[in-house]
Amino acid sequence: MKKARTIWIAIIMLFLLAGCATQVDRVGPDEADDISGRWNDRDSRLVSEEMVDDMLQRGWLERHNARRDNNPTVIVGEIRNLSDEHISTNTFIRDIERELINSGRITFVADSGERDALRRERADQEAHALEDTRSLAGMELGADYMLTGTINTIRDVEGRTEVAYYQVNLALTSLTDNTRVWVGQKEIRKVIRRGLFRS
Amino acid sequence: MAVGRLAQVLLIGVVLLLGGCAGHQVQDRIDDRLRAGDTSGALEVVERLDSRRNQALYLLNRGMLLRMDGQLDASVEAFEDAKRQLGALEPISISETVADWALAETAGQYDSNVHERLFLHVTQMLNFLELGDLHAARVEALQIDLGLRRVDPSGGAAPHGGDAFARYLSGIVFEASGDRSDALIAYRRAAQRYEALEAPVPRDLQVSLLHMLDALDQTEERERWAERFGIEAVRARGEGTGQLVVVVHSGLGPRLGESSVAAQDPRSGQLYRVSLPAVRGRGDPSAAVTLAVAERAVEGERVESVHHALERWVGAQIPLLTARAVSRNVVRHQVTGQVRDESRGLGALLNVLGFLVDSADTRTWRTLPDSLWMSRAELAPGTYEPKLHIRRRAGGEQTIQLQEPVEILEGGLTVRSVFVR
Repeated sequence: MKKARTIWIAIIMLFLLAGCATQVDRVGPDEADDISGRWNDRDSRLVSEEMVDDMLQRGWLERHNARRDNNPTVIVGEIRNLSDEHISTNTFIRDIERELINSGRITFVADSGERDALRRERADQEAHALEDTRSLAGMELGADYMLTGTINTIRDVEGRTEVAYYQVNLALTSLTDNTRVWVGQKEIRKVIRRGLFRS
Repeated sequence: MAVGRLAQVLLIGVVLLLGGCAGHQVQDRIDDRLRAGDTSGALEVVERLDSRRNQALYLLNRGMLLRMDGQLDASVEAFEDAKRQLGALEPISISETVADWALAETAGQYDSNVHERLFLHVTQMLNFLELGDLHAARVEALQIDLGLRRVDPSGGAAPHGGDAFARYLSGIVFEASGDRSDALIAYRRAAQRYEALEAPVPRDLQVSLLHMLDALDQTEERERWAERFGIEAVRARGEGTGQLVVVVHSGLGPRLGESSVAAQDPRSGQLYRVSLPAVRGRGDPSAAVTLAVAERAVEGERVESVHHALERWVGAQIPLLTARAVSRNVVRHQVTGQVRDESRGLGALLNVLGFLVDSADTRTWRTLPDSLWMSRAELAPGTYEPKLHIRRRAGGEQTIQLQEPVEILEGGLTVRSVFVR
């Protein structure tokens, strides 16, 4: 009898342990845990910071400033996600834009998608806004350089351990003569050890 | 044993019993709504499946119903949630494993088998393609490859099928992305898997494989495949054209029923039961599919059978499921015998309840189609209003006009899905 009771109590305990309540802790952006091992907001921020640092330290910027008396104007082209994860390239692009604009050494212009919306707004102003408050067409700033890039992954899996290798390549190309003025590469390597058991 | 404690055990049994019944009733009601053409109603019903035990099943069904309802963005979200949920279920749960062997097959959380996970990626890939997001579709193709390499590191094959069409569609996505070597690998693997699964290699796949071998100058291999397919020459892909792919989701996916053997010990009255799942196909309503576009008729082909994949999986599971059923009968025999020594009434109650609870796990992703058909047409850039002619297995023909005009772009891939019940 005692044995049967023990068996049943053990089974019930296992069921009870399996149902833990959800807990939410608010953490700062730098404290974010890497829960799944996938590309996350922290990776996006770190990579953009480091790549922008690298970009701003290279000679192309000085050469541009020597030729012209204004900051280089950059437009973001396509950043292709060639990885095996759904990575929000928009978030990554925004991180890069923020870092470059905040550096005060680059002028950014809206990309093709945003430009359409801005042009529609200007056309709307032509019809509806007071004359002296209208933004005029034909005053857009042309970009000097286009930033393009790719995000790739290579994965190696053995049993419950997985090594994920992320490689981000960015290139800045002159729109005047198609010369590459800067190429940057940043790698992140993550080792993910998956647990054997769950509750 | 105190009556209170035993009551707890009995309560768990009743909850399991009712939980199993409720899940089935919800799935039956979803089927009814779908047969009546009421996808919105099915979406309301599926919310009743939302429980910890059935979380993955709920998300899979919700994702598919949203897709049928044309809510592709919401469907993408539900399927991504399903992927996360299934990922969280990968480690072994000790409590669920013990319960499988000692209590009931239906005690654990619903976890998908390999072919369902493949269909999840395939369906998500179709969602992205229909949304015009080729990059995201390519991510799904890579996830399929990664998943298959985890299951079978040397061959990258799914043990019970479902991978042939996944590879084939991956090839189409790679080709449209300009990744010709990846497209070749995917087409080649797809052809090999159709052959290994003893299914006909779709004609379009044969031609696509030969095109890719031509493009990459793989002359010897091309000759081997051409001979195997019995193709002498293939027309080169047209310059400046785009492709239209129409995928027909034909019928409703198979259900899992139960096949039970029960016996009673005449001396003690102890009840024994072995319940195993049995596949109950609901049939493919389509016998032939033809895509009519730009005054051309393109024959469609059956590219995947969900029914056959489920049959192969269940067949492979039977030895393990039988062993677990026997184990549960042994545990029940021991526990009931000891409870009966203390109280004949409680022993009898436990005996009956244990007998009733011990049923096969018949949960499966039932909103999948029975089969998938596909037509692929190469068209000049422009806007088209394609029609689909379906010859029904039960007799008669059905013509379906695609909901919106289709725009074909040069070098582009346009994908549409049609649901036939």
